[in-house]
Amino acid sequence: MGELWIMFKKELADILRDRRLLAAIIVPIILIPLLFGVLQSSSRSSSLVISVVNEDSGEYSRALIEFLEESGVVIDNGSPVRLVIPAGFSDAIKSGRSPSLLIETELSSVLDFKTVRLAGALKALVLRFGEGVFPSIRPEFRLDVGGSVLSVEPSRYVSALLRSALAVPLVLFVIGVYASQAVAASVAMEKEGKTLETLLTLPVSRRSIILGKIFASVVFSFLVLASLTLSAWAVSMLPKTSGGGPTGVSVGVGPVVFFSAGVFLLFLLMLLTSLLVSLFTLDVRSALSLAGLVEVLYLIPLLVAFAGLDVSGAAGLLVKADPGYAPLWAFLSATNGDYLRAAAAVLYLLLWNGLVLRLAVWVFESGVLMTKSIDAGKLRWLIRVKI
Amino acid sequence: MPGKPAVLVKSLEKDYGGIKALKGISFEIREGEIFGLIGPNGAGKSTTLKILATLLPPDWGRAEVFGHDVVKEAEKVRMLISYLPEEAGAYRNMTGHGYLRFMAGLYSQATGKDADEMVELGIKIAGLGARLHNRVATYSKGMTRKLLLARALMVRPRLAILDEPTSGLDVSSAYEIRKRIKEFSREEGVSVLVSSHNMLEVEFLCDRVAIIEGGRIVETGTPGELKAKYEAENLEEVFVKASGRVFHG
Repeated sequence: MGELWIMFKKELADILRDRRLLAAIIVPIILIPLLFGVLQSSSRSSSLVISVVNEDSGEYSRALIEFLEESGVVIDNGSPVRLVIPAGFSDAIKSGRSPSLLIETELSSVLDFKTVRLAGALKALVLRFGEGVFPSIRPEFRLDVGGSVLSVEPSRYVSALLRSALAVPLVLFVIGVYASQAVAASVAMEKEGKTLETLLTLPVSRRSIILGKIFASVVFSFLVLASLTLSAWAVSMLPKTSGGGPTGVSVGVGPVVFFSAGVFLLFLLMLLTSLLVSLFTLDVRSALSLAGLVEVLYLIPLLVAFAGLDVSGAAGLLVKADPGYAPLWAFLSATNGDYLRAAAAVLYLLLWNGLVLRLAVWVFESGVLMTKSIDAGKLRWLIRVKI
Repeated sequence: MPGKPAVLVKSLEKDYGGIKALKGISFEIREGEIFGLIGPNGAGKSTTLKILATLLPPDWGRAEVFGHDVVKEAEKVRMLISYLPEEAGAYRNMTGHGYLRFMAGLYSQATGKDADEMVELGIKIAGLGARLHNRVATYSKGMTRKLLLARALMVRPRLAILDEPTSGLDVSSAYEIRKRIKEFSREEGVSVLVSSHNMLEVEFLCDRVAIIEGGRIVETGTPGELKAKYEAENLEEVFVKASGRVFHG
């Protein structure tokens, strides 16, 4: 136990001495609340706004509307979430039959998570009202996505969509996170193992060295992807225990192709950016922590979309300019049939890839890599720079 | 009639964030010569070698290897040199043999030289016997250094740049490495630039030396010439007298 304690203290001291690792602890504490603060302040009110169509004139329908209003629900006819109380709602309760309700939801896009959350919150309130009523209320759903009407609960629709159409691109994105760590570590390992200087004086093109590392990481990532696919296939072969999500949920081939292309290019961009930042680190640990920070930058648009935040103003522009937004942009444009905009989003990512690759090759070819005398005054606290 | 110099360094300057590592050094290395750059730690030896190895661009001045500018023609220079950094490592997960083969493969692609021949020479220079088939991770510091020296020399460079080749080694390993460098240079006619803060090592190894101190070259000549000039018994004494250093106690 004594030697374990000594080792533990030594490792902890090492970590705390590393200013970048401290930064990895401190930066999220400051950055994430700041970021979400900015996003929240730029987003519109998130109060539960619904419209109500009351075809029942009984006491229970009035009680339900009062209950919703007391729970903070704002009734506005322009809301994409509509509660339809059918005629006979109150009579059904009085006669002991299970009353039904209809929640109609109109999604502006397949990734309109904000409206999906509104519908979910309304369902929860309706069920809570139903707790005091015997027999319980049966909410039914009607979902309108770009003119296609489905009788399915919005959250189940999104979940089925993610499983059927977006699962592979999202897995690819996760693999991208993994691969970018691998590529960042590969350069840092050369530095840590004192093999980089030798490598750089060989009669080998430095572009080849960089690309060799990137391709190796890509291939490695695809091997991991293949392994995941195989395991997913194995899981799908297991006997089904329950019904799962609704069938027939699809956005078509075009949007999925554009989304996959966008995610793949974002994946490459993450690799290149991780490689670029790792050139300035001295060891694997530093490289991994910096690569992690890079990934967060590209994940912001995804976090915003999945959190259902409606960001506007300068923050909205920044989120949309983030290359991480481009795959979503390509997907949504293709879903609306605007393939020109979808192609533009893919092109935008291609340009970013070209730019970061050129920058990485320039750093690799210049003395910057060896001297680390890049103007790191502002970054010195964040990355370990050997002067 | 002297031919084209292997190395020509003229008024070289290098600054690291306000600290001047080189303050306008100039020297020349002849083809087939073993040239030693000697001086204390922080004198500017490694910086000079890194510039010649195309790792660092100079801030001012000119450096050429066989007539090729190390900045403008870096790729051509890399075809002619082999560099052994002071703190070099080899890939720990490879065997020594695998490492030599990997490096020979890269050189072979670039220069068209026969990879098998390079590996054969590397095995001979390394002198590690059966241990060459063990992983580098299991090697001692001396064994790794021998492997790295073999890597640097097996490609038969026209200029070998060796930064503190025996740094941190025990007496017998250091002696062996010095002997191999000297024999190889004589047999293959390879020019060698060696940096060291070990004056006695340089005296044994080098045809000519330059004494560098505080980023300036304070003296150049053969060990014999320098010892005669300063009426010194060895290069250590020459260094002390030439650099104006005084030992106390």
